[in-house]
Amino acid sequence: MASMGLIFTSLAAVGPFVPEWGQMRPFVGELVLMGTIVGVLLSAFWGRRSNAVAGVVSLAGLMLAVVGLLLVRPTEGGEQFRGMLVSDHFAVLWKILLLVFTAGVVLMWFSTTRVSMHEGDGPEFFTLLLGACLGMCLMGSTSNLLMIFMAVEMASLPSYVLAGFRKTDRVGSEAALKYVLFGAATSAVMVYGLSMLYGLYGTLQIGELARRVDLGGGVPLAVAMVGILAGVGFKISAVPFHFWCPDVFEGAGVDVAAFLSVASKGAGLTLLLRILMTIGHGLGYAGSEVLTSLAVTVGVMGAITCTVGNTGAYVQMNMKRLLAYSSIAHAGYMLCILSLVVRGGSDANGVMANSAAQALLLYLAVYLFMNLGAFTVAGLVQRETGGERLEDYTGLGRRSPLLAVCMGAFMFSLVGLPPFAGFGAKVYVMWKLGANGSWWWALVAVIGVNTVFSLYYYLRVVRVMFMVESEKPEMVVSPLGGGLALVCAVMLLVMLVAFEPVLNLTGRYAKLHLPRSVPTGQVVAGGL
Amino acid sequence: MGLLLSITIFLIMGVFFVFIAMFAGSFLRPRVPHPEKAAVYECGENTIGSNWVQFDLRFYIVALVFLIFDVEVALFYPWAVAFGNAVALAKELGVDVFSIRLVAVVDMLFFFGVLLVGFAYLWRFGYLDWVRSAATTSLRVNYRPGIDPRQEARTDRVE
Amino acid sequence: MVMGVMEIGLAHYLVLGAVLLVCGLVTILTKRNAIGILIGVELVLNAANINLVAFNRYSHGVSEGGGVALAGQVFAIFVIVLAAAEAAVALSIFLNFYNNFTSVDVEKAKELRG
Repeated sequence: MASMGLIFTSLAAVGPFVPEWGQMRPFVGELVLMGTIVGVLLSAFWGRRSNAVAGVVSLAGLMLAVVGLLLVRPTEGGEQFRGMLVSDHFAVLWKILLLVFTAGVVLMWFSTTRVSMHEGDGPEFFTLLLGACLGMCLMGSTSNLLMIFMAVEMASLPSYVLAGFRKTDRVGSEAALKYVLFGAATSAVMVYGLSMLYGLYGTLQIGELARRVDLGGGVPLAVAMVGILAGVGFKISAVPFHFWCPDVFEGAGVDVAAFLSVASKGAGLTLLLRILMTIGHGLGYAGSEVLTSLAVTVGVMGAITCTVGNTGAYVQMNMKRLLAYSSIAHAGYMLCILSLVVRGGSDANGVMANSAAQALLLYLAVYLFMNLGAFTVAGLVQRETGGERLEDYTGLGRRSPLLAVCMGAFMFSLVGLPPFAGFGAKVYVMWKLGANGSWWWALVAVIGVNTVFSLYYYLRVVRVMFMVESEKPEMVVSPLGGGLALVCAVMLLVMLVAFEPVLNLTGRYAKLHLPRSVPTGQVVAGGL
Repeated sequence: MGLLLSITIFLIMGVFFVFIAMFAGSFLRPRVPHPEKAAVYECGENTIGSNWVQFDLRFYIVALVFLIFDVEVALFYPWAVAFGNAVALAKELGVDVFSIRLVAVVDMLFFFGVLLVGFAYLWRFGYLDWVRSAATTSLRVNYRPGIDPRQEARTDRVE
Repeated sequence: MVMGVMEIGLAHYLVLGAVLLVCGLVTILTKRNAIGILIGVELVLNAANINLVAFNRYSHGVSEGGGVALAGQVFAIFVIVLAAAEAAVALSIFLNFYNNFTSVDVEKAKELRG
């Protein structure tokens, strides 16, 4: 680390174009990830393309990145690289969550899919996984149109390949085909929308462009907003851009499904939050028509998304498909949070809006453990019984008490029942929405009704595991996989018991760097 | 008026000159008709079957690798322009020309170096070979290389 | 149309872009061949590219300081690069799909339902 700093400071002496080490430090996560990707590829040359070596190298890289991010001082932040990237508390915590989650996925790979992967495919798998992770890190820390496009594509392209990674698998290749066609179409529409924004306001910085939105936009502005919502909504799997989600989750490997369930949605949501807040800040939250319509759109989208997700999950008999619909529903809940950004008040720091960031971070932190755990159990059951249908879970309570109890905990937490952190996160979201009154009460009602609905299909899994007898033999669970599931379940308990500290932590990190308002007439710095 | 008219004149003259050349040629060249001359020419061989067959899928793989490295050059253009203008830029910023060029070269080497690692990986593990053999890869023998040559050889296959 | 007013301007490029966008969207929505759909996507991306370059040339070509601003052109280069990367990924996925289904007809992709 220190030597890297030395290189950067010595380079900085030669010209104004080399960023200083202090500037680079907040992006230590991305830098280490980049190095890890190269390291994984190079490890193939010496490790005879060993899958395990590639896994260990990526795990080490992810850990190093998390440590690096933890060392980032809160004061380091702001717009970097001429506004291309933004670093702030919010981005740092999102990256920490994402990297920890990805490390969890790697551990999960060791305990589940590793046995079925061809020796030699490992380096490619982890290169793609880390590449997608890098794109998602960038999605969390940019408000520049070009970087938004680049980050979304960087996250998407490896994900398409990951979905079809099992080459001889028919459903896998079908899932990848649907994913890539849908993703390419939505991202193309998004680029068209971005070109409209650029044409209207002549800048790629959302912060600057938001200040000019009052100049009017009309139809082109609407086209641009629809484009952005399509591109980002695809990553979030928001209705009506959710069709890929169940198919990809079912067709892809369980580790890829787990990764996409949290990382893709979380990245899309953090990006959308930053876009909305930057626009809101630029407009001064002054009851602007554009901002209100955006918030209402996002809120309605969220309400529809969680309803569609929950109703879709009702008839599912495949565990991965059920979890896919469940993740659509949770994406809907989180979209509802984003509708809060409209309430910024006159405070220059956007205090009210930061509560949306806090609720989102809190929900993501909890959601991460629920889904990682649930997919780990699904992977372990699939590894042992070879199936992923609900029948394969019959009598799990007897066959493997540890997995069954953990899975039960995840299901309870996904519904939002105590004593698990899912309860705290959901109640907090509803409370925050309700505190704003007016039409947000409708969203609270939608979430409440959805929670009651979702009880049925989550508890059906619990019923199958404990109430249905089966002749199936006992399961041997790898210590690593069982341990991972147990850690996730315990984390959910701990996070509810220690809800106050978690709330404080997310509150401390829920600060976004928004471009300072420039009085009209003052020359705005040029550049990209 | 001006632009559209000149484009129209340009197009008409372009077509006109093609026919002028052919017309003039018909006066000068000897006229010896022969049925062989009217035959479809394909590398000196008689054509077999229709040319609407499926090409070997491996051509597409090569095309994809080419595409990536072809397009990557597009990113070199803005860099090359900036590199060429280093003198003016240095004067404007009041720094050494050499330092700007050094930074630019280091940047591009970094970019290209990362790309080369991927390329080396492809090369080393036989992704660029026309016939992938088990010797260049450390894959298991039962690896199914995606393309079945027996199936590929069937040109009569219909959808 | 009166010949005298036929100066090629921003509006012409925007109309071209819009036409390409509509062509692309129609292609995406109607084609059953996966490669056809990909061609539609490329049309939409190129519509965006035309917009970006035309806006840069006609509206936003001068930076605040009076220099040359090239944001749109640079954006277009990145769109081209990413479109190529996307095409490469998509085509290799199509190849894999072909190996499993002996077709690139998206109607064949209906094993995943529900």
